[in-house]
Amino acid sequence: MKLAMIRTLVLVSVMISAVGCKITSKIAPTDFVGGMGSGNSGSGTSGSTNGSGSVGVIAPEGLKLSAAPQPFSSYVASLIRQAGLSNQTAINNIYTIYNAQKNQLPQRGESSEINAAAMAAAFVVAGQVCGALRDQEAALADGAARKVFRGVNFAPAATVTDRNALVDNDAIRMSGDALTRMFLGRAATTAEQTMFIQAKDEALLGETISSANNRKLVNDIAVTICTGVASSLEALTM
Amino acid sequence: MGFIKKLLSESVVMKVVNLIAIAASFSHIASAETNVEKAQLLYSRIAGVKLSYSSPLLKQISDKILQKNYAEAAELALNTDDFYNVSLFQYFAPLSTRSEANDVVLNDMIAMGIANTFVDPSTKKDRPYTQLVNGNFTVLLNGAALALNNNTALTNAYNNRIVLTPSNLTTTSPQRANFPDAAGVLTSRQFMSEHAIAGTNRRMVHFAFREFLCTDIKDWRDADTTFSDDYVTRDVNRAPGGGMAGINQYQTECRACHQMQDGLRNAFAFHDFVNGAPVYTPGTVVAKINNNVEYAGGFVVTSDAWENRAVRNANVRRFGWSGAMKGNGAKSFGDMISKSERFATCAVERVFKHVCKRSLTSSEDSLKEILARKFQVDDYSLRGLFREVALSPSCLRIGE
Repeated sequence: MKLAMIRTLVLVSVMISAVGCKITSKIAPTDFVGGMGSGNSGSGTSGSTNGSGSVGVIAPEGLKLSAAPQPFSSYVASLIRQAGLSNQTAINNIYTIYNAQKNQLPQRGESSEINAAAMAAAFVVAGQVCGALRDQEAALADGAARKVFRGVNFAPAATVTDRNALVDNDAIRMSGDALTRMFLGRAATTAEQTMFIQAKDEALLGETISSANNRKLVNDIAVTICTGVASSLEALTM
Repeated sequence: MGFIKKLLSESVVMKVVNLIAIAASFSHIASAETNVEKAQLLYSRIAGVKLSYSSPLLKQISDKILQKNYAEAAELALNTDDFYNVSLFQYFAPLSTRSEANDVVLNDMIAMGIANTFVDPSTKKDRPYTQLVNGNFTVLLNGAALALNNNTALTNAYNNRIVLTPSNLTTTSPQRANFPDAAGVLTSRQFMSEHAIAGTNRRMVHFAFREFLCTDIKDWRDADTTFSDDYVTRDVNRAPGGGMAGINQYQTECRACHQMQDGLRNAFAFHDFVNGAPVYTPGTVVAKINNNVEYAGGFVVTSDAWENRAVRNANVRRFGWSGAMKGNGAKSFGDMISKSERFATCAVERVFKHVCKRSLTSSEDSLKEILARKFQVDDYSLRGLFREVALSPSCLRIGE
């Protein structure tokens, strides 16, 4: 237990350090040149607006996009939207968890608000969203109807006690990739796909798979991988 | 809930470690390179929510970007419930409380801000942002008037996550019955409850300037001791602490703010917030304003006639006033605020920070002025300003 806790703390520390490096290396604005352009952007009415831009100034060279965490209410709304959740009871439960955590999440959407407490809160909220996503997916027959966990049997037969038979690696890779597309908007890298497999292996480490726990383990693995993606800094950032 | 409890149990600590390791691997900041990524960036910064990548709306925005129809792409984001319920809520929430907190429940000031940004169903045009400080309107929720002495209806709507739309959140005029001095959100229940409760109504001026001119009293004080202090009222001690030190303190500090603030505060002389409701007593100065007498020779407020004395030296350029610098009541005070250059540049600064996630720098003053001018030309359309800011070259770089 102690060893595991120390490892958790070290990993959190590494993660937060990495976060700090990335998110503080943001914009370095420089002068822009130019003046009022001829961009046609409409007159502020609801009518059609055309044109390739609005304010006709030339962007300064070297100006980089300013990344920022989503404010608290954006984060939970985004997760629910991206997961495509529709069960109102599940959404209510997510908001119950979110309401208990929201004070720890970024309030103004500023990079300085990213800290260990914010990441931990994101982790809890994402966990609840992923639990609901798992429930939604598990209720569907395996196949095209599922958005994420295709090939995952959430109700294995009592006789399934082999770890590869329980959740095969291809299903994990596909699920991880689908989750990455869902929450991050891109395909998972090869390294990330490998990580999903490692995550599964580690989740099963030391576990004796039996008829008593095989369903629970499959469900836990699904939620664990999902939460890892949905609570990542990349998911938190807008 | 079960999952959360499970996470807290010892037996799954290893899995938590495992999970955090996955999270760590996703710690890079993606830059918007593909049209879909640009669409997601544009949508999330305008509407405040990230979409599913299989979302048809994201595809539509992406297609507009591919066609270089950036303004139409932005318009798609602006025409969504997310823009009004998430993004605009976040925009108006801190303006509505003394602490300027982001985590507040829906109140009538936020609701007025959102409703005023809906496209006017009769004219099909945007309503001017200036109405927020001088408009004679309030909101109806599902066609029902809001109670003046509580926020229950809006709190319930917030707790039930009711999606606010032009159908269920409508504007109505006048703001209140028999109330000739409406000044947009400045006379809303929420703003009054924060700034007109107890005190001496100076906070009404202080926060009207903070929220709509982005200027704190510390910034616009005029410390010129040769300048008249004839508006400083009786409750301001002319020698706080006593002796020459006190006299000096008044001359160098107190009067610099009070001369500005007290002359304007008269605009709210007939306004009060009592028993949970805003109260207007035409012709009767609310007692709290003249109650305390520290210096009998001070100004006594006898009407709601106000005068703006922040019209000298640095304040000329700071505010860019135009229109009347004297008037009666809150409505004309709001008019004065809305006609200043600073009103437009303040909105630009707020929207830029909201969408671009950084403040404009001093080297971007000309961009700020261009955006402010466009905002004015567009008849103070807040939706238009969001679009212009999002597409400005220093913000999201969608057009690259």
